[in-house]
Amino acid sequence: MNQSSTNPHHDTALAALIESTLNGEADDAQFLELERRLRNDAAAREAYATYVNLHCELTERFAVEGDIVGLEAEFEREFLEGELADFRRTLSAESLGHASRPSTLRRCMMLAMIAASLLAALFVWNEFASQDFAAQDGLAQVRDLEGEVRIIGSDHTSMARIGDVLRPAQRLRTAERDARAVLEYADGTTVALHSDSVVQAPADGDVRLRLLSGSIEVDAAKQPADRPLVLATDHARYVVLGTRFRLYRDEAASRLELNEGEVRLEREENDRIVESIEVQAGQAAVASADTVPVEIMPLAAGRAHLRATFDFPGDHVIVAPSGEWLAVSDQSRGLRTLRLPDGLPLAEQRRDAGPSDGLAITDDERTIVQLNRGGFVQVWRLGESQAVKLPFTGENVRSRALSPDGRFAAHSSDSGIEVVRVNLRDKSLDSVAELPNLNGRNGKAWSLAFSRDGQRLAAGFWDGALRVYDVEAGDSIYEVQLADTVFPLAISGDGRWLAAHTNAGGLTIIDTVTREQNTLWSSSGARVVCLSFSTDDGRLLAGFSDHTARVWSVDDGQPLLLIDIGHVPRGIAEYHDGRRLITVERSIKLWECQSLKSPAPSMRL
Amino acid sequence: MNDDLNQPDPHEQFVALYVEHQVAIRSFVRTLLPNAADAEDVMQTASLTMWRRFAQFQPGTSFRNWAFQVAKFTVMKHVARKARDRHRFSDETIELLAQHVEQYDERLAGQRRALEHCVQRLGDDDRQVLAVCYSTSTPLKEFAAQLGRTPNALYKQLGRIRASLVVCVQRRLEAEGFA
Repeated sequence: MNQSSTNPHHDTALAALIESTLNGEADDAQFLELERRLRNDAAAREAYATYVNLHCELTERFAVEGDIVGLEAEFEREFLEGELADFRRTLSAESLGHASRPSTLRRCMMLAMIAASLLAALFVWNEFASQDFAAQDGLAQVRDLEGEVRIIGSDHTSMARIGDVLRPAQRLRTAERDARAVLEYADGTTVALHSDSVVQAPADGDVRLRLLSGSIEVDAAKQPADRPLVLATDHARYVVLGTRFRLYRDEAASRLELNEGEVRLEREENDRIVESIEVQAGQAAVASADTVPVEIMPLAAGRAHLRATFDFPGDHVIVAPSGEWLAVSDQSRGLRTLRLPDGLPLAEQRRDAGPSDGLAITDDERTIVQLNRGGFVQVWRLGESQAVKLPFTGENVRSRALSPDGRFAAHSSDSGIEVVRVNLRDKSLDSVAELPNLNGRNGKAWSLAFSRDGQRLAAGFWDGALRVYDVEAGDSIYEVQLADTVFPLAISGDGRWLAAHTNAGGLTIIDTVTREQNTLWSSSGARVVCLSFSTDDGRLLAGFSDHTARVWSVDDGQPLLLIDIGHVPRGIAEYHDGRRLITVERSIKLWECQSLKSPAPSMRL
Repeated sequence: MNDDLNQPDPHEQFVALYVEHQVAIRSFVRTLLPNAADAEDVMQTASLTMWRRFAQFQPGTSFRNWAFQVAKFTVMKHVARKARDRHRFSDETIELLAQHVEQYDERLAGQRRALEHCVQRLGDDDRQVLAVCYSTSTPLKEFAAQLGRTPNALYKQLGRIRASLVVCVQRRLEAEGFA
């Protein structure tokens, strides 16, 4: 058998990658690392195939059997007991009767046929049942779906389908990434669940829907005064009188962000309301698991309107210093430039497309540099038909970064953090520094970010360590310990400010001069997907998994802008002194913003 | 007419073969597609294609190998259609993994047989965690809350259990001569 000398089943790093992939928790870097190993190492393929094989067998053993039993029980209990009995009698007389000692194979076939019949009948019944339930007040129906969404009942789980009704005690769960579901009530109220969220329709009481984890966005129809819409989390009840808002829930607290209308927030202890607060439009309210009062704070006051949508997908976007055009990279379509503000395509480079870890436009606006996850730097001199591909590979690369001017690139691999200078004239990569990993092979950086001139490199590690290196000297010049794995990470152009997201601690901005830290976002109900500083270092821009883009003032941490993008922004950039914002994922969206200046000090940062 | 009556019903033949090899095919597809929902979609499409093209299957040859080929092309089409989606292997990786599974198919079947024995050897606590994690009726987070533990701790325990099962299965296969 073709395998390496080490036993692949004892390779803990590989096992961890496979585990996270099987659990559906692998991030992009982990997934790419796994694929790289599978491509290059037969032993890794053996270990992976073994894990998946056992995973499937375990699924078969524990899950499928349970699901069929659950379906059969439900089927029998509710509707078709007579038909099922007839079916079984028929089966018994016609099929079993032909073989006095049916083989295991035959029994399996019969079980499969029974299961298939039950599933088909249940499907038909569901169709009818959905129509009946839709007419009933108080029950929500699935109106839209993206990605993996499941309905979890007391005795079985199924993939959600449009038209399904969320019945009392059932939960609706969206997958960790790239999933979304919209529920609609008979009165037109809609509840959108973002990725990694769970809601439950309570079995009794006046609460219509309970957010168990993650985040939802609610667009409530006007409610009758005597029978308002009531939502709940572990931390509070939300009495809604016709409004638009977002609700986030994690272990420690629930956060309400109110766009329009009014919500009465009630905190209960021992079934008694101990605190009741009217939350107004433009406010956020945080109810925590502690006994402290609900905190009220203003939402970002800035406004933005969608000026244009360009039908180009991408994972990185950058605006030329002149503000007259932009470059976008997409893993399938390659590099493209568009004129601003009308989005007219200028040039494209489709060769060597692939996921990007960095995109830059040189100061003279003549060259685009892309750091490709395929292990190379692509230098595209505008006007030339083909880009030059410069190999930049390492063993088990975990993270990569490109400086904003495209002159430096770095990656973190088994051997350390390698920094190279991109020689645009000779079209070559020159080694600049080899910085150490945190603690050997397992201490690779999970996130990297360059200052504007490429002289400062920030590295975030697995255990929450965050370091800033002087690239030329090869020294660590600043270090801070955060709560959890740092991802993603940004450093301001002048190298003074750091912004880092961790699952446990949220989004934090750090002043490396005063060492002060300011938590800008603490709920794990939504996570940061992309992060960058504005070109003048005055603002921090972040794209979130709840389809929002948020902007904060760097100096005082004040929220400046909150936009509902309509999709998860993969890339975000600002230009024209903060008056325009660009986001990209399925399409490029150009937002016209009010001047982003810090508002008056609020009640709480 | 008698000949017709003696001919095996193709539907029955297909169901028998499909049921016999279903776990192997599912494992094959899941190896090529890390995303569970994708794998389920492809299984459905591939099984339909197998049924429609069952006439092309040569009796006497390996149904499993034939089904693997159908499944592989269904995976390739699926990946090409969803090229923009994240966390999907490249064609090259899919090809390598498919080759591996096809080459070591017997070994993988042995692993599945050995798993029965290895699961029996687990402690009650570990078996309960496996049952909860693989039966989709109880969310892991909820189960963790019932136990007063964090979901992360439970995931770690699940990882440790899987690793111990892998080692146990390897040992048992070695004892069976699958070195």
